[in-house]
Amino acid sequence: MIGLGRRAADVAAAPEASDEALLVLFANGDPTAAAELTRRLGPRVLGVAMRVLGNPAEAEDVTQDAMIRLWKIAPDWRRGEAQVSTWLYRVTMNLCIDVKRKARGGHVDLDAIPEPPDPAAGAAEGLQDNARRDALQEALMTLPERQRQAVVLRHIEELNNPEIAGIMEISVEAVESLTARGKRMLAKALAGRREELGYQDG
Amino acid sequence: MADHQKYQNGDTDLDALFAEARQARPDLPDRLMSTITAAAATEQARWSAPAPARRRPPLGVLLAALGGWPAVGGLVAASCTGLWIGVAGPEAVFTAPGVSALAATPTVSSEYAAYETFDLATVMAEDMQ
Repeated sequence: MIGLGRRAADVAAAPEASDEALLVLFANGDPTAAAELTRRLGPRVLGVAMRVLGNPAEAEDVTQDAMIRLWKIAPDWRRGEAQVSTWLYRVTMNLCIDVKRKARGGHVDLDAIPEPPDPAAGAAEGLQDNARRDALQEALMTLPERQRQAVVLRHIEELNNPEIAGIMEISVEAVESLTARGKRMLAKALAGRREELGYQDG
Repeated sequence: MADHQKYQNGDTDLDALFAEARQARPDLPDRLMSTITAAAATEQARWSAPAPARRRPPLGVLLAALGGWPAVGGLVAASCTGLWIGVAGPEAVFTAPGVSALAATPTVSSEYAAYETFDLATVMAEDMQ
């Protein structure tokens, strides 16, 4: 329990300070809590959004929108019900789906349609590291939306399946199925590019 | 066999790519950080600002002066009864279910009351003519 008199700067200095404690401080008017929360959570939101959307400008918009939604719900935050990061990931994923839906100009079953590869993502040549990162992104963009979300949360964010289930509002079994299928599709998409990416057989 | 080998390599590649992706997490651009924290400050300012004083509408003032909705309810009921008596005349008052029940009650006092009421109604009817 954190006394209302303590400031975020003091709380943040203590490694055990939770995101929730910071959010409560923010809701109580603390002027430094928002910056600390943004430092902690902003890069994670941006990273996930970039992987899921494959477009930095859209990812930044989603990050800004998701964080502002966090500020708005702060006074009504019900303590102990959900982790702040889980809530934020869920909002981010839904915003990403909205972006894709708007881009398509209507309501479409997102799971039914694989993403077209982003031509911009493959344009960068040069360092092999970059080529490999782009290759992963290109392969990710070939997955259906929900598979891509599950794979990114599991293998890049390294969240556990129950947490991903909470974020995506599906069962743990559904998460396992999405990540397994997503990983198989990724492996297939990348199989043809092994030499290009600098991996040796054997 | 070849397929099995291929997928094993695929998994290894994939794990390596995931590991690289984890190392390459983007930093939050300064511009975005500023926008987000500025939005936070705006939101906090919105909560702490005093709620704008609301002007009471004229009907609200009248309502408060009369003593609120229950008082207005009583006033309306009394007015309607008065209007009904005025329009329907004294006969309607005697034949109204409640009043006739009262009159039918076989007690001296209620009969007396009915008689008194009759007297009063007669006076009222004469006044109206």
